[in-house]
Amino acid sequence: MGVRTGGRPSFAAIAEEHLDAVYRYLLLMTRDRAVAEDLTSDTFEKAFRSWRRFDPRRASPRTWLCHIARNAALDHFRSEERRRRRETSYAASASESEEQSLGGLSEPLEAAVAELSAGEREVVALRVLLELDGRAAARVLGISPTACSTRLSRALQKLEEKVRDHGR
Amino acid sequence: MAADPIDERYDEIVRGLRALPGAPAELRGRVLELAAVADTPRPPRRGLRLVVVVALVVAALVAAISLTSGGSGSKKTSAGGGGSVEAMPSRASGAAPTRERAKTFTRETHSAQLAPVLHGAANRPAVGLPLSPGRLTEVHASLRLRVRNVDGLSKATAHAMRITRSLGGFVQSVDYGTPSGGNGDAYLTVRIPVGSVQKAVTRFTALGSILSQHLSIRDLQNQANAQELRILQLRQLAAQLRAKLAGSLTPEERVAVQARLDAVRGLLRAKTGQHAGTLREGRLSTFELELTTRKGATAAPSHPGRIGRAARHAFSALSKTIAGLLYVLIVLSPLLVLAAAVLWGARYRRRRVEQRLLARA
Repeated sequence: MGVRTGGRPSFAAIAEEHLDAVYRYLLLMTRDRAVAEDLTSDTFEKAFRSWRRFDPRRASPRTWLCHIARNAALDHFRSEERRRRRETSYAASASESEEQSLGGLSEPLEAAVAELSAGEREVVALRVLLELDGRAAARVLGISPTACSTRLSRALQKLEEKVRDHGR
Repeated sequence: MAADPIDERYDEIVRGLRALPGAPAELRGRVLELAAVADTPRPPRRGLRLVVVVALVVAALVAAISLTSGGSGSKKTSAGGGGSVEAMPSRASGAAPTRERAKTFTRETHSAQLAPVLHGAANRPAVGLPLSPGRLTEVHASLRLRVRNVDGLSKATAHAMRITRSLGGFVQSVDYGTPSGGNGDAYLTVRIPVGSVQKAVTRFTALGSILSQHLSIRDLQNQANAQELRILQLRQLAAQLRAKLAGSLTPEERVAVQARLDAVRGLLRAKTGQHAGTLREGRLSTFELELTTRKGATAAPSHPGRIGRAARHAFSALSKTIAGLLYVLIVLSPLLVLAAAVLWGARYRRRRVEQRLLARA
């Protein structure tokens, strides 16, 4: 599995190492286990197709996978928005009914996460779950490291406040 | 992995979030199956890269050959119509017979055109110069002559200046000196109307014994025509751009068109200056005269050999290529700036849209 070919890790080794991180990132972004599974699968399929072009000198495998996962998530949000616009009445009730547990999180934390926007959840996912450093996370988000740090602080503060509120 | 740690205040939240479950076994199986396929070795596809490299090398060679042959080809063509002709230095001592001296401007490559014509009793050389009347021609001649003594040197120098003025030319510089041992030298650079070159050669060579000489004639008409054509094209382009500016344009388009117009104006100024220089060169020939009293003086070979000519052609081709590249760069730079601005704008817009989308999701 972990065979190295031509001085770079094998795709299998990378998939094995980063699968959980990518899945958690997408789960936190979408808050839907089924969607996160589909998007994770999509992400690795796309990564497989562009594996020959991956250059480890330009980005770490995790950052590279994260870029692909992010694009997959954005595509999903776009299509969801289009669908919601088409079926406004249905979507309103559907989003209510599709609320489900992410699993593994405490109740107040899960409720707090649900109140964050996808953008806020994303920065938390990148820095906390994927454990990317500020610079790498900023590159994925297309913002400056300072803006990334600010966005993370705000998101975590908001989470803390919400957890406190829900805990009462 | 995290080089910059997350604030300790949020440790509890961080720990809580990291308790999120990993990928389910079914998903893991699917992904690892795909990964196993990805790692099966495939034959390397170097063919395309090789083809691209070979194509680039061939293109570079073709460009180099066409540029080089273009340079010499134009020379050959123009030689027929009064193109570039070079007269090489001939060596003749002061005591050399007049017949020897009569060979002054005969040369290997264009000897038929440069056949000497003896002027009767004067026994002085004159040359049937291949000058085409009505065509712009650049003439550059250098003559090295020996005179008997310092007295003769002074007279010959004064005479050379008189000849120049009588032919409607002017003396650009004179350097006269008799430093030691009764010997002396005089160096003159004179400009003479191209129409009087033939007379000037005859009269200057009568000032002393010829030690060496070099005459180069180059047709400038094609060059001047090409410059005029280019100037016309640039004027038309400038007029079109001005008309475009007078119409309705978006601010970005206006900036781009204005930048292009400025570039075209700059080019037009440069081309007009070049054209004026070409006309000036075509009207006045340059003569470099060296008069000396030294008996041991010998001719210095001033004509470049095959290698020299090849080097000159290569240098000329290189300068043309650089000029062409510079031209392309000047013309394209406003477009490149516009393209960069458009790309930056599109990227910025995409980021904004993504942010809005994520804020709503």
